[in-house]
Amino acid sequence: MKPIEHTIRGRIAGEVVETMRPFTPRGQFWIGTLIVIALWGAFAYAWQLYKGLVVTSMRDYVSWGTYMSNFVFFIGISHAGTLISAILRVTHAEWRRPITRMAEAITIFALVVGASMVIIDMGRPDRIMNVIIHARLQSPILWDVCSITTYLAGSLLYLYVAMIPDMALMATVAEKRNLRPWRVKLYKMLSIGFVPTPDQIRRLDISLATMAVIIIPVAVSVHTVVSWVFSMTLRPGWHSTIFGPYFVIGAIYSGTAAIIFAMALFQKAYHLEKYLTREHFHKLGLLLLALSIIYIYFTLCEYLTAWYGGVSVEQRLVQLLMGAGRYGPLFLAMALSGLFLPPLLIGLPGRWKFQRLITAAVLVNIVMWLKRHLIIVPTMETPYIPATAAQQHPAYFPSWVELSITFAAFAVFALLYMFFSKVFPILSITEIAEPLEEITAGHETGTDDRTTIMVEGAVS
Amino acid sequence: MSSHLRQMLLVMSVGIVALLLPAPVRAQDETPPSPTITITESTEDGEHLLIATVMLDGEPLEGVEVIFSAVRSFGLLELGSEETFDDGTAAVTFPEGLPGDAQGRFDVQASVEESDDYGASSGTASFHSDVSVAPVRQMFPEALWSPRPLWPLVAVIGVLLAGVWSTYGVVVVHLLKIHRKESPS
Repeated sequence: MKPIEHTIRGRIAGEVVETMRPFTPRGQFWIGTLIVIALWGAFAYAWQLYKGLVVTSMRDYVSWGTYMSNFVFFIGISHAGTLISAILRVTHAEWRRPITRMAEAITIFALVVGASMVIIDMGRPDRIMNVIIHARLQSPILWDVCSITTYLAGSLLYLYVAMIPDMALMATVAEKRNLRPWRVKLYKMLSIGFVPTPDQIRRLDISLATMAVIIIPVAVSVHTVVSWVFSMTLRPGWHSTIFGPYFVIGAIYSGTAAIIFAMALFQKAYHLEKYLTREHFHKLGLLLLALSIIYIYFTLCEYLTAWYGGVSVEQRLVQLLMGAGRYGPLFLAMALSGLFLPPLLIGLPGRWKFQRLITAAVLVNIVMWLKRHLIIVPTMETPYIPATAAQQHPAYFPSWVELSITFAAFAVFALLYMFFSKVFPILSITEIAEPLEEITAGHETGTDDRTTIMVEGAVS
Repeated sequence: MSSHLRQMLLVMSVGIVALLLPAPVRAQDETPPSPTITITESTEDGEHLLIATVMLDGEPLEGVEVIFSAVRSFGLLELGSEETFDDGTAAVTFPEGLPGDAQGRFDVQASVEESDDYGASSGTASFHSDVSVAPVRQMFPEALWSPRPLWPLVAVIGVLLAGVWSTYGVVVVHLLKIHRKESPS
């Protein structure tokens, strides 16, 4: 039997271990910056707990603001991972292999940060258990609690099942390379004694296939239920039958953009050009292009129906969003830079295609946060009985507490993701190695000479 | 004596003293007696009337303004007001066409405000309307406001969650079997 370092898996693992080395001074600077932002956010939350929700800009009319925008945004990008990874796995898209782990990890951390936004939005988080104790199954809020919990559990299980062979491999590699003992212990524990015997491989394949199939409807249901929290209420702009699919497409759109951005960061930071090739970016770019067109279609359906129907309250909302109202410029910026510019950046031929794709991905993520904000806040400012009847002029702008917590949420998400990449292999070693091993086996039995070049090129 | 015991004794003595102190003399109850109000319906000179009779200590109360209101779902709908005559009665026109419940019943309240001589009071009586409003029978009751979840809702959510979580369970069983296979070696 070959020593591990001479196998394809061992050689890939050796390269992936390099990404798990301690942070460089530049990395430490970024970690430090993110920790400072997160701590400032923690202080802001402590202040909110001490003073109450009065330190936010949320009041009677606008009772959902930035926290809920963050919630919908993070739940949206959580679709990046599990859903895209599962769809590609189920359809046996071979190019998925280097990106699945990154995508699945995005799901976990986005869900954790997103779900915590709901608790932060609560005036009395100490009463969180009342949601369970006095549960009302009639309420879409409880459906949301059930679906997000189910999705988080499923995503964790899915990520873990796919990681088991890598954990077994990493336990051996960590021992050989004299990595820290806690790593060896951790990898051994998480490998649950997996040995690639035919029976264990069969069980693992069944588990992975089962999770890949079940997680797709669960992921779709999660964002549908998130949309129902809005659309089940009789409010202008929310009470819409297309909100479910509109939110799901929006989630996959922002999720795909998040993966592209994460891939670009890892490729640049760890020089993973061999694994994260232009081909991967090209294919995800095409997916993003298709999603952007679908999202434009849904947005058009949503607002055209509201405007054409002529219901007065819907007209007021459309006027607020697209007229000369407070949100007009924001809506215009969202439409131009988030809906129409990304497909042009991706689709037009010419130079700088890679740079244009990354720019489009960043734009999509920024604008999709803005879009969620434009879904939530203007509707809350447009009740059926005009607020002016009560001499009220609701105009929401997030307070320093809300802004601090929002920036902290993004910082915590980035920190969790970075620490994950330092503890676990960010590339799925086994999945990358499998086709190469099959090709090598074919070559050894004399099936194809060209494979030698491919395999050597891939693992050397 | 420990400081803890001293504190306890102090608290107890303060409590005992507070109990022994005479209760503050209450201000004499100066609330005047409240009149009783009965409401009937009658037709006089061809006019259908609601008549309230206000009595105080068995005597009719004259010159008191009586406010007539119909009791509706979200509050009182004022029907009119009139001062009582020397026999203690006041009347307003019967509210013809005011919808009643499924049986055509509706409640009327007659009330007087307090004065120096008597307290505030009200009386309620039920009358029959020509118009009855039966509750709308909804095929799909409004789910959110129902006192308990509708069984189809519970069934759908239950089946979906049970299906997903039991699938997770199957995967966990596979993982446990992988783990057990390794354990003996």
